[in-house]
Amino acid sequence: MLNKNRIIQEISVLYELSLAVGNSLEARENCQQFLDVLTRRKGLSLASVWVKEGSSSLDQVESTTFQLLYGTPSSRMNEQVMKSDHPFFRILGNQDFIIVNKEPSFSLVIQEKNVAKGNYAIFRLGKFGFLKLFRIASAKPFSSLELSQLKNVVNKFAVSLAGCFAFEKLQVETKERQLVEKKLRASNHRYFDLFENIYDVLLTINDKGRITQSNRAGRQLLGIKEGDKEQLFLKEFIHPEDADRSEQYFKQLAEKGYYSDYEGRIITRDGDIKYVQVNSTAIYEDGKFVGSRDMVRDITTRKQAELALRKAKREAEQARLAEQQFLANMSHEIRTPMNAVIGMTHLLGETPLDRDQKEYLDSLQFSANHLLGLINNILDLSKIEAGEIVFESSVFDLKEQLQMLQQTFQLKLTKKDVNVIFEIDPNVPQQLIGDSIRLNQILSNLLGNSAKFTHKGHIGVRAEKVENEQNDAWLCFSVFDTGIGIEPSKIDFIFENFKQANLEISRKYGGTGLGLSIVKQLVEIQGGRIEVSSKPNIGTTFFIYLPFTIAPYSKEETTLNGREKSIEHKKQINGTSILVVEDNDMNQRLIKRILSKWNCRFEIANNGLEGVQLAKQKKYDVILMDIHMPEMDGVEATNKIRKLESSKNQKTPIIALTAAALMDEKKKVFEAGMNDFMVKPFAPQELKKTILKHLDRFKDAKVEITSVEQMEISSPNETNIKHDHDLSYLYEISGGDEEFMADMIETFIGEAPKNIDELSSFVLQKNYTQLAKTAHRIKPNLLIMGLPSLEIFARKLEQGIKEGALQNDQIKQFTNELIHGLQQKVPVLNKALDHLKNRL
Amino acid sequence: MLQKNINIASILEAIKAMEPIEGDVILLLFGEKSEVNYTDLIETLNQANISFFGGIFPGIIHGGNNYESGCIIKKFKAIQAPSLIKGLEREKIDIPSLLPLAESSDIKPTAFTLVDGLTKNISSCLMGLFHELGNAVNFIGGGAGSLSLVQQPCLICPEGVYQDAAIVCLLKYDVKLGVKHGWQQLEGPIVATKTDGNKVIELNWQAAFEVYKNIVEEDANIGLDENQAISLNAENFFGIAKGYPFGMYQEGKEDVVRDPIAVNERGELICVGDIPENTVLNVLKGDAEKLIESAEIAVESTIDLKDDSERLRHTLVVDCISRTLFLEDTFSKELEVVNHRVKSTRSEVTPQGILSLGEISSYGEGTLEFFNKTIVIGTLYRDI
Repeated sequence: MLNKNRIIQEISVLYELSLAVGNSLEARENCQQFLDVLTRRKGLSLASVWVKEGSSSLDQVESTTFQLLYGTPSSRMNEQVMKSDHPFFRILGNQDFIIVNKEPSFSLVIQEKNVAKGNYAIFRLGKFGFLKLFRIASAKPFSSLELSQLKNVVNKFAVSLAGCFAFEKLQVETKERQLVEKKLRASNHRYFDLFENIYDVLLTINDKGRITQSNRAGRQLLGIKEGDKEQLFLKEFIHPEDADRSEQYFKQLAEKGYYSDYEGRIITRDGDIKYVQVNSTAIYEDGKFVGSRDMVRDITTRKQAELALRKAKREAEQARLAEQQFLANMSHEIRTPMNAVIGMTHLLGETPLDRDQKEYLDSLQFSANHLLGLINNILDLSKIEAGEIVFESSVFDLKEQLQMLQQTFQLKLTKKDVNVIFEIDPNVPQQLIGDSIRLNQILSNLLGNSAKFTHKGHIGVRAEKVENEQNDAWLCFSVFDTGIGIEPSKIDFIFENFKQANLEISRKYGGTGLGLSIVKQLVEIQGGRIEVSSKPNIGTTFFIYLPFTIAPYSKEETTLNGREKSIEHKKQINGTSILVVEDNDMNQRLIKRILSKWNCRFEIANNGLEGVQLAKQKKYDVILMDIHMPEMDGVEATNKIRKLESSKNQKTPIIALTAAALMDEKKKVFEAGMNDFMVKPFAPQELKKTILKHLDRFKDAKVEITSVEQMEISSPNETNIKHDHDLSYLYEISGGDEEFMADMIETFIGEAPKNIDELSSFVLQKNYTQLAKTAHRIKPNLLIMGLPSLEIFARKLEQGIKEGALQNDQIKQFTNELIHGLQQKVPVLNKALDHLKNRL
Repeated sequence: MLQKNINIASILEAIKAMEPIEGDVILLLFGEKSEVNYTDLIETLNQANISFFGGIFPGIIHGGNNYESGCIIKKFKAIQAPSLIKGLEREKIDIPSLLPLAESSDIKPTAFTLVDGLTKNISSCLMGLFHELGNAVNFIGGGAGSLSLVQQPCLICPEGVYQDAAIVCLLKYDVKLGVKHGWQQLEGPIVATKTDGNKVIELNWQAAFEVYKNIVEEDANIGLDENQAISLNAENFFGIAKGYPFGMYQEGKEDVVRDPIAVNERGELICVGDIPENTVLNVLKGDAEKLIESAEIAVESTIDLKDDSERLRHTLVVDCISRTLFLEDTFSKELEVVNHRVKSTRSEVTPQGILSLGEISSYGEGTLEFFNKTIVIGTLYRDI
């Protein structure tokens, strides 16, 4: 039994020891303070604290390695690390503390220097370590009682040590956090620096549209100050006209998460309007759209440039339009007098002339024709360049086409010692789909060149098939001649606009240098190509490669909407019965003439009423119906013919003949139940095509290609209405029948006084309705007579009055022009008529 | 040897007479009353290329006598030149790396350690030495300085005269140590609930002076009439307190004595040596007989009866100056007990040493303590 004093003594020591615990949050210092008192008071030679590697709390048990945390005296600490498989731990077992003073255990737990005999006491420190004490043999040995007394203090020490570890961990974490914060601050600073100083405008806008953040560029753009604390709403900067768009923009941004390249206008604080391009990224918080980060670029300068450019382009387009308009007008204006010149020259040539005069006239004729060709070429070129050229895609007969071309050139070259040779390879499909008119233009142009530059030998065309892919065929047309050829150094330039091989050529042969350029472009626009091979003084060959679609049926079959595809023979028009409803005397004559030539059976009705009467009595294969007629017009007549039960021609094809190609007129025609539409004056071939299209019966005989048709087809002009060839049109449609020509001219001249009278009376009476009717009636006649300049006035009068677009003064002016024109032209026509009659 | 009347020339002559060779070191122990220009002496010894160290103490011991002036001059075989540790006034003390040298020796060296006995942080310094050297050496030494308790330069080495310093010299001798004070527990345990270095501010959560005063007066006034009763105060404190030191508890050993030497105006007790806060203290009491008996025990433990007396080279005595103050006339008895025992073993050897301000002794097992009121005797052995 311990005496009281002893107990008090020991409690006091324990008190001292316990107060030595936990005076520092630094683990080693805590150990040092505790072990210092412990070694002094307990007379220890050695004391050490071991903890698991990485210990930072009482619970950490993962590590299997123990490290010496603190030992006194430090110089005697030998081993610094102990693995959990060390025999030490086997000896310690599960006990809270043990005394080791006997072998073999004693030697196994020695880890310090200079240890001889003695006593070890080992305490567990929580789950993370142990405390090891040593007294030399000469000192008092440890007793269980003594260690039991110490145990509570040691446990307290363990807890305090765990506290130290937690604190150290906290410190490390704090340090790391501080480091991270420092880096973050630096990063923020860098970000801010970048944000603030970047050239582009950066804004942050919340979901209420308030600008919550703006960099310097942003403030400059919006015209706000850095310190502006006021509520800045985006709305106030958006141009009112862009308000809806910007609202849409934000809506889409919220939905999509981003929005790219929005362009709009803003109004700055200073009232300036600026164009901006905006790229935005939406900001979401918990899936909710809370705002956006926006990069805004001031594109005012670019936009202004763009607008200026657009304006310039518009102006350029307008200028171009004006130019085209000018070209169109000019060509018209030039062609009209040119027609007169050519016509007059032609007539002059028929008068008795001496040799010199004849020569001058030839020269004049040549120049006039050349000038006309030049004008036509310029018009074509301007169309090509404007991208306005459109290619047809219809069935045509290549052989037929080439035959006509051959005949034309043979005719032209009768005076020269040059043969025209046309060869078609048997492999070439006869029925093709493509633009036959353009093909004709291309080949004519090239042949024209050949004819021009060839004085002896031959010119010609060879057609071959190059490639065949299912329904498509590539054809090669070789246009060859034995002409003067092209020098190798010039070959590269021949397709350029306004370029000829050399100046001498142009002096000697004339020409504009546009022909080949037009040909090349026509070929290339169709996806083809053109090549040339030439040897000076031997000849030139142009190779034109063009793609065509092989027609699965013939031209006629196509027009028959596929009916009777098996028919191999040509349908024919002779014997067809036709009702012609036409009030215009000249047109009547013209149609009579054409139909007679085709051996058609026909009857003429002078107006709609007569037409309806005739239609009641007899069944016709086709009815040709003028639209504007006295008594009853074509529309009404058609209506009647279609509706009358007594009519034998309820289903007879009715083809409208009109002088106006207006859309509403076309519409009216079809609404009335007519089947087709022809603009006067028309080409006979076109009329034939149209009639055949609507015939439902055919005859075996092949359609004869008459010279009329050939010449008509060989004309490169697109529409008949722009036919400018003075009397040549009449000459052409009559197939050179001078009697018919004379008849037509006579009729025109005969009608002229009456027409002039009507025009002047109606204009005086201001009876504009009648004036328009008269203008309408004489309009096609003027064209037939090759008087398009007068036809313009007739047309303007008719249309203008109908549309109410003309002032009285204008009506008066146009009428006077027309009357004046007629008065002038009649004597000229009279002269031509005399000339014709003299020849008959 | 002892030189009672000293000057630089006599000291130099005496040293030369000892014919020191390489590996020898000269120990110089001066009584504080010696009239020597230490700076000049050091310069002279340095010029003579002599390896030396030493200190100035309240007194020196030679045989059965002690002197306030004069010099003990001794020659030792040393492992290294003495190491000076400066800056003890600062908390952070640089301890020289001595362990490799200590471990290189074929015998366990004796670390002769002198310290300014009136500096701060003596405990830290000794703790540092202990950590550095552990039980690779045996320690013996004591505190230098003046009995006036006024701090002044008191350690001598080739670098100069120093205060706030310590000198360690590893001597190539086996040593047997005896440490004893003979003070007995009067009252305790008392907890030093508040201390500051060598100042005890509170004992048992009360003003330290009041607690101490009650214990001391109670004992001192036993058998005395009221009119004869002593009342402890600042004036009589030193004279009375020298008989009532503190003892710091050590398991299985004598308490480590802490000598209270004064009380300040705040009632704090000033001690020689630190008392850590919360230290369990006893108030001790001594009597001449017990103290002299302790010296007897101490010297006895230094005599190795099994060893050949021829190997006994030196006996160093470090006796606390306060023991002379306490034992007064009987102090010579203590020295004589020691002298007699040593001479009886080997007559050629005279115990020599110092009257110290604090004593140092350890086999390196357990903390290196700075004792008070203790006699430390070390007998050095060495083959010829």
